[in-house]
Amino acid sequence: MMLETERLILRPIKESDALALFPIINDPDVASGLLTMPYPYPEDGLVPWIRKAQEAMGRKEQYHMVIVLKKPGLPMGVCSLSDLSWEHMNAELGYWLGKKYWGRGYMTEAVTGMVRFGFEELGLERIYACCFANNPASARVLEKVGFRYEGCARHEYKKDSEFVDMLHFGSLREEFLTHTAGD
Amino acid sequence: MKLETERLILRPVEEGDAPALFHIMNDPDVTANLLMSPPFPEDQVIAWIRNRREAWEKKERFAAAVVLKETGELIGTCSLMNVSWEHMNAELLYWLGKPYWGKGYMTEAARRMIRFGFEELGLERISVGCFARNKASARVIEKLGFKYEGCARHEFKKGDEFLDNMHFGLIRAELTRNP
Repeated sequence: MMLETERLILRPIKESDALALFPIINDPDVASGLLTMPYPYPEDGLVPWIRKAQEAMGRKEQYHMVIVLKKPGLPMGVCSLSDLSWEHMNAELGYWLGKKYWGRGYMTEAVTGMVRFGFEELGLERIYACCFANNPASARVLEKVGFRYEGCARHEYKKDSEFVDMLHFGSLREEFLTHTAGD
Repeated sequence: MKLETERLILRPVEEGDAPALFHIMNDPDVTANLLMSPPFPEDQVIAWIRNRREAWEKKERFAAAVVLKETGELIGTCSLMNVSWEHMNAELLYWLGKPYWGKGYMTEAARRMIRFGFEELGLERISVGCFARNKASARVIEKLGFKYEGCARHEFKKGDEFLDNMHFGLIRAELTRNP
């Protein structure tokens, strides 16, 4: 299974990606925006995490894809659809990218590809995402991909002994497919 | 374990509640604006009760039977679910048998459950949702002190329809002294 965009490939994560992904995820500037990744990241933690991600993919509960630049082909980050509900036809979008790749539109491109996969291949009705209220860069990615801001859940998350607000965004199938029809 | 209000007792659901719960859960007017949909055969109701009792023991979910003091009748349930001890929050859920609608029982039960969440469990945040089409529930929720936080579009599929779900939140700092 492989998704392709103009400059990127998104392919299922595998254990050998751990080496390239570790320095990316073990970066406080990347980790600070994420909900489920600790910082510092435990040295032997990535391989078990990848294994679990692969198992969840086998059960169609989660899809974790590595983002790879077509040339030269190194893993730069991850895009995921998780918490899949086949009953309600929705899933949660997640994404992260190595700091040295920021600022070139790669995240928006990869997320667009992942969301398209969710709507076109998985047939989902809704994809949602959230980010910390103090992470405007993440919110911008979602807006550029066509997500709509749906609200702010106050003190929803406890991060480093502080309660923080989470911004919630959603994208609906019909809305996304017409929004990106011109692309 | 028992919570008390002026007219009600809230306590963990138990197997003896099965007949009363069976009637309420299988009433389509009750479930019209809930995620659950009948039919719920007797054995499923018992399984539901067992599951909820276990969840209370494990502190994952607190599903209380709402009992009328005057008659001892079980009139519905009021719960704190999706409890996150990591983030110190939970979601409120409640439903009531139709004969008991319109008398303020749900507001009274929910108020006590909310106090339980903040005072006894020490939570930071309680959230609650209702389908966008359920204006009556939204009114009760706002009376309880929740603030509207947004609408998740097409969040649930019920039958053949995708429904919008309104989200509300109440945080510790906003608690009034009024129980």
